[in-house]
Amino acid sequence: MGIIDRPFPLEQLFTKNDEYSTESSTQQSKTEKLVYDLFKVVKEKNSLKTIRLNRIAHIKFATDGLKGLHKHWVVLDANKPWLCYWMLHVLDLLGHDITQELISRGVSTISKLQNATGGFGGGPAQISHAAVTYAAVNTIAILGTKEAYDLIDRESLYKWFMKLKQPDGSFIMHEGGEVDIRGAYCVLASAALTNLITPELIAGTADWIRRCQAFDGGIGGEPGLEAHGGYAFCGLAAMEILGKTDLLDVPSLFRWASSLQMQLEGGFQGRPNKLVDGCYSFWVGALFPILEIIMTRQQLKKNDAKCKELDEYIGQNMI
Amino acid sequence: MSFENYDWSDVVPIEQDDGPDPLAQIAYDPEYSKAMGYFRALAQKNEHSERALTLTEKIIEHNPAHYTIWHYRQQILFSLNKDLYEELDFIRNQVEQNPKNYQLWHHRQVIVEKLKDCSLESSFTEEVLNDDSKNYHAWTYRQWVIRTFNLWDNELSFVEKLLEKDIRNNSAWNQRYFAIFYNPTKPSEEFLEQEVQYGITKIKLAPNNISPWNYVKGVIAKSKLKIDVLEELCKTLYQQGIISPHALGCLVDIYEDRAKCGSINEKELGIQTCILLAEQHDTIRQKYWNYRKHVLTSIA
Repeated sequence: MGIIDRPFPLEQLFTKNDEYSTESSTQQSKTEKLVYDLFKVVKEKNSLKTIRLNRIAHIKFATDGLKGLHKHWVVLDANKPWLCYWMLHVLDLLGHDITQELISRGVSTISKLQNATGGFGGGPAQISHAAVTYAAVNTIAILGTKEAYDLIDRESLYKWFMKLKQPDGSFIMHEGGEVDIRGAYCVLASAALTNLITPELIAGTADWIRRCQAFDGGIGGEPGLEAHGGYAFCGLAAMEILGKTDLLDVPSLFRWASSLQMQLEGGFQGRPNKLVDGCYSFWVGALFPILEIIMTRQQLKKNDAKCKELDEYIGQNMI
Repeated sequence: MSFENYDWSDVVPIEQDDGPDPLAQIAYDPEYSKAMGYFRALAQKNEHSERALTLTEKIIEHNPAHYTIWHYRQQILFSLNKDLYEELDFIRNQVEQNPKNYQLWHHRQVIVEKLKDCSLESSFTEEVLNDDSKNYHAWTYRQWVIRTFNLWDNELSFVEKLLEKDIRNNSAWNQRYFAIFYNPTKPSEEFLEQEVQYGITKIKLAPNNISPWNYVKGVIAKSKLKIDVLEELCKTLYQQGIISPHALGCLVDIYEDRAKCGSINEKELGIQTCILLAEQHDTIRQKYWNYRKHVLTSIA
């Protein structure tokens, strides 16, 4: 059951502003009107089932981009691995063949971005960056050949991770760079994929992430900061990699995440009282499969415990 | 002075080595390519000079997110002992055009750390927040300034101003929590009870606004109070015909607590409220409320 095919009028789904408008509610109303106008057409024509993901157009978009980009994309010149990852990931998810030629070009491109001191930079001769490295490692994972995997210098990568590590368990994004929870996730995810997780690498990190959980159950970029969808994904995913999700208040995070779904638009906002945005369909949407794993695991543990209790009871009473 | 006007005759620009047939090659503007060619040459010999500084400005103009260049710029500024107050002005201009750029905000932090002077920072962040009261970078930076330089005293009144402008500003509510609970001076129990009352007053202005609900619950969790101090508010709203899923959700929490203590009546009330939310008043979260109903039902 979605939103358009609900058995009541779309108008019922407008957010109530309690006859007390503020900038936030005004912006929200404007957005709802835009979305409502689009949804209404589909509802009236009953054309929901005709809406299809335009695979061909997306494949073309990604393929064209991989061939080359307009000069306006200079604003992402410090993000080459991200561009590769995003576009190759699109092809991979859509089941489009990633050719030998594309793989070779990918390996060659990424190899030029690795620094001798460890990690990957956003372009040739750029210093290594945690998020860029995460994108580079993911790109290599998609390329998926031995040649691709072999290009990673794991030893220097590990040394560089340890340089990013801070005494309080957090990670900076690059030499002289900013701290925030993206650092923890990008390093841990890259380390997990390249089998570089050690006690030394992860010391104190779970505790630092736990401190990023805010009073409303969400997770912020650093301790004290507002809970935010993007940072929440980084935090929860990192904790799952660490196996420390029990340090979080899971019910509270679950509730916060659920509260971010927009009742008319259907997508997610990144923070309470802000607007829906497609990117949060990933950042917040991705929380749920992870929460499901955590909650299932907790339930199984409970069942296990109950079974053990039962076993003991039976054991005692059968003698 | 433009970077072009300096004497570059001693510098052999280094071409970008992307390898053969690279993926996603950007069709650079010739000016950018030229500047980057000089940068690679200067970086190789670690040159810190006026022409290098001007070069970084040009590159940043094309790509404000070029973190390597910002890092290089910092090294040059400190090597040449440049006027860092001028740099703060430079950053202020940049932030106007690129208010959500990580590198800019971190650059300001690096400069202010070096200066050990925070006197301009409160008004700087206030200015940015006047334009966009929810700019995450601005709030992040503001919290760093407060923590580092111990500027806790005026923060609550700053938050007040923002909440008066927009009671739905979730960033301001978060900052309120920050100003009270991250403050080295811990709040008294009396103060916390006042904060709960403050939150309740704001809830009443717009009961469908989730922010004060989250705030009040957060304060209660840190106090000796229990969540049932909100029971009267929730029930009054419902009786007045004001439907707020946050009020109903709060009742679910209260009933669940009591059900866990053995109240069968409240267990049933909790279940009914979940149904009300799932089927009528918060249908987008139907599955969440059904889950809460399941949890309640399972309480022995």
